Amino acid sequence: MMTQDTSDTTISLRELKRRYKMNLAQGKALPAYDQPISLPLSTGNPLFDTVLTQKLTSTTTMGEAEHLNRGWNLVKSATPGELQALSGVARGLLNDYKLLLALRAWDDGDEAMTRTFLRALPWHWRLAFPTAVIKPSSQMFTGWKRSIKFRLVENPHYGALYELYRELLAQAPPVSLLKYRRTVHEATALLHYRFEGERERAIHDWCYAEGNAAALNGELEPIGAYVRARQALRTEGISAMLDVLNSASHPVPITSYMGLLGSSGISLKDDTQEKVGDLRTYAVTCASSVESLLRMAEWGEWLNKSHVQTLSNKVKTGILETGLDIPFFKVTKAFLAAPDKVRKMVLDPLYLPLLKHFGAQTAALLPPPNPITFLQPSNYLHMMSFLLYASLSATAPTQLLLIDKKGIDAVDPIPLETIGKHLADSRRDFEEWLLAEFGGLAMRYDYTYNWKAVGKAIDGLDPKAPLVLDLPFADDLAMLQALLPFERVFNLGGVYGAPGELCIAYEYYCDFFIGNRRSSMSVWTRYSDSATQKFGEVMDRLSTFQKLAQAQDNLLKGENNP
Amino acid sequence: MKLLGMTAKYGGRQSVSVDYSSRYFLAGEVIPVESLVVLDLPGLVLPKQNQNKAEDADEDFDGDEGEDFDEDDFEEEDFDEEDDDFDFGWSYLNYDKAITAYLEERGLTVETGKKSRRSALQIPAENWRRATLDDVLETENGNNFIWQVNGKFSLAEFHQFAEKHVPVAQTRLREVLAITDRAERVEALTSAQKFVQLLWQILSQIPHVIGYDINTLRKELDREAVRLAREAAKAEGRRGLMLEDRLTLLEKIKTDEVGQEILNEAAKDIATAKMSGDELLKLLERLRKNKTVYRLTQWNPEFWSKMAKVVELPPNVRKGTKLDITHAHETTVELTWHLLSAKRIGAIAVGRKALVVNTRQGTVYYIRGERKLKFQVQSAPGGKLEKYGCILTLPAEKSKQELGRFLLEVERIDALTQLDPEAAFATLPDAENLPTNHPARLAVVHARTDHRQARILADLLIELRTGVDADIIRQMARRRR
Repeated sequence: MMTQDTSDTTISLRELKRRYKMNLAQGKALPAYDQPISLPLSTGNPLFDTVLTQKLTSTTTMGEAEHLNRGWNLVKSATPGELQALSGVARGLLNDYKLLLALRAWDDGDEAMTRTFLRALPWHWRLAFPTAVIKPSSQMFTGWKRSIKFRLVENPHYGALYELYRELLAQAPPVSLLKYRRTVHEATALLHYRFEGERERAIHDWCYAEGNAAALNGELEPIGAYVRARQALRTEGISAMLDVLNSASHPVPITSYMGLLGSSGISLKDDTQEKVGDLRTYAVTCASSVESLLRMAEWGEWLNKSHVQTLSNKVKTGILETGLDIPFFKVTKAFLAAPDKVRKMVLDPLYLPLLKHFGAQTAALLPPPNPITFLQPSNYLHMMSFLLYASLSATAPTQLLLIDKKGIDAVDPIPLETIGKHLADSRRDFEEWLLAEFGGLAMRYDYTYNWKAVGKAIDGLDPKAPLVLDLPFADDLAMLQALLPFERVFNLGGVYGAPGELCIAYEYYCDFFIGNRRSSMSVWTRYSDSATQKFGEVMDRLSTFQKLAQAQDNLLKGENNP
Repeated sequence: MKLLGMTAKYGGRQSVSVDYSSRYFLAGEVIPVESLVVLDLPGLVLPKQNQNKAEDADEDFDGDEGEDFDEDDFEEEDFDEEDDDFDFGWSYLNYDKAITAYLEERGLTVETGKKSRRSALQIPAENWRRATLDDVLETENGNNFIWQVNGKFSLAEFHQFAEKHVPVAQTRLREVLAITDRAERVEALTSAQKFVQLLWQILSQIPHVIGYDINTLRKELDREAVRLAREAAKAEGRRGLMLEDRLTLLEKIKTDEVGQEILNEAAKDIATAKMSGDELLKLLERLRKNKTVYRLTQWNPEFWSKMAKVVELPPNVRKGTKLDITHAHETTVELTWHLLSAKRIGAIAVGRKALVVNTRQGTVYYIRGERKLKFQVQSAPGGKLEKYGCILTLPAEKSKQELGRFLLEVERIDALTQLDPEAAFATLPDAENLPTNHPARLAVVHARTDHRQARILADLLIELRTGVDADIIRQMARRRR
């Protein structure tokens, strides 16, 4: 994850929004409903904006093909200065555009730039590069569109492409070759690739045949382990398969393992399954730290303390020590969906360390001045927003203001460890804790607020410090007035429209409605779950927006002063 | 002042809510959750009528979830008195504000942990009791809980209530009818109306209560029948009920709930019986023909989820069958009687995608595959493709009136114009006959250098092909997916 530039020349949120409005008026920016990632921000440069927000997916009025056409045209028209700026922030761009930029560089014959963008891509995409050059529909679309014949690159430079792929195959970790077999098959078929040397011939055998030769090549573990395990399962049964897997030098990826089990009708959920304990142990062993967290709900029925210890060690070495980015929202959803028993087991060793890690990464993207202020209603605590507060408060100065009709309460900082202890509570236990921590506030379900008091409290905050709002169904002009001077307002609820405000996103769901011409009654549930997920993504993206906005300003200065 | 409220638990403690807003703890006897209680709060002052707005300028009303009606917002002419829309007759006072102030003034707070200027409020034991039906009639907010009385009071209590209050209503009506002065009569009628309306609304719950009692008694009798059947089976030396026993029971029992319990047990046995695929399908066909089983499994996710684990669905269509899939739609396969009685082209897997065709003759076909299969068939020579031993067809459109056939084409044109404008233009049947200055030809040329022209070309081609506004038919194509 990138850290924020703390210099005074950082382009403000207000300025990014202003640039968006200007570009929208001139037809250079897409309206919010046609942005796959809806952010009313602009660097000032349509190409820079596109590579950050325009995933190749259908939106309200534009299909994937139209987004691709627009995006490719922008990429094709990029100046050398623009390409250079983008290569400097390659990791922060959407994968679709890392690929398109790699294709543009390839078309220009610039292998160095191609490699820069390819290195920023996951292996699955890198291994598909020749496919993107020769038959882009297969890589960029799904369904029937994969058969549309068109090209993006005018000159495929087949000879160089061939050599590039040889290089990629040599660099690719065997686990990627195992997982992305079909991708390699397609790319090499399109290239009419000739596999040379023992390693490459083993890869050929894996992609085009049964993989028995690959099984004998020690350099391609865990492909060999997988092939031997598959064979053992077919001919001798589960015990033999487990023997092969447990004695292998590398574990097979969890997806391959689950595929092997699924194709043989073996279920980890079935307690009567032969050797189910050993099968489960291997699943926990071979899953990566993130994969295992995402499967907490699926595996919840059978996870035990020993499994959790294994997972905990993986999280420590695989994420916390390496600083790996995690899909925090997905992990949280998986945690909340897991059975009570599992949540209690994984809370301390797994989930709390991750919460802290996510908080530290996100806090790094919110530079001083501090504190980060959270403004929420006291009538209820939205779990995701509260978790966001808790995780940030562990590593950055924060304050929590709760509002109700009597005014505003500045809540004493609650340590993450205190909140964390209760995340696995049953509903009753959690309510007891809320009563103990917040007193009568926990019992008030009032949705009226004292806006004057709120306005006064906000006036007392530093307008340069970040402010995070989560106020459902709360709309008042006094609030908008109070927000006008603020530079960084992140709204997890309905937008107020202040210049320094960014609405992260929310959804309202109508659970019940009854009405006639004179009256109506409705019950709504609001989910800002996706808002909290997007908070982390937006912070990361905002950082890149600011960097590219600065780059755009530099390019313009360069043009004006050649 | 007496108010009705509903109990709930919060943090394991007994609490009450009066208007679905704040909660107050209840001291004293612990009663079941969701019971109706009467709060006796002498000296409680209610706010002004329709207090959805702030009493003073400092407290602006803002945002609410739930009841959202303010009579003062409506002018007389805004609603028609002849309107026979049902009048809910709810009171929309902000009781919460009044109760909170009342309890705070009297110091009726309880500490829950940390000191907070927002203490939890508690109603003393002497200020509340369990409600009776009389209370629904007599409390300030009783009309808000009319729909809650069903299930809270027994038939005997309703009977007692009716015995007490119906004569009162009759007496009042008698008195009203005796009034000859028209002005006086209007007043008396208005007063009687409010009382009679509330009384009627409460009494109107009686049929539901009777229905509830009938169902409860029937369930007891049904479960008794099941118990007896199990004992009989045990006496005969059998481990449990066989399928035939269960089917016989189903004809005797009266409640769907018990019926579904019996069927779900049967499903569990069937799933573990290790039958062959054919045997299982034959058994299910037999069950489908049983009207009671069919009805009880129309909405029975537990039954179907057990069956889905063991049912296999091989193809069951004669080889060489021809089928027009123009109107096929993609679905995620769920195991239901509809699927089991349908024709299957290719093996169908529950939980995976399939195309479904409903023919004019009423036959349903499930075809293994996804939506892209339609494009494959359309692109095949003559719009025919052999698949799973059958011939799937998607003929070219016969006339512009058959818009359904164009929807796939719209999607294809939309994509092609963006990626290969010339190829998209060539799909127009009479492309070569268009004049050189036709807007479509010009759009093709411009699209080579200006990507925005691709959309214009798409619109033109779609409108030339279908005769319908491109945006309209585009939306239809998206919805049809």
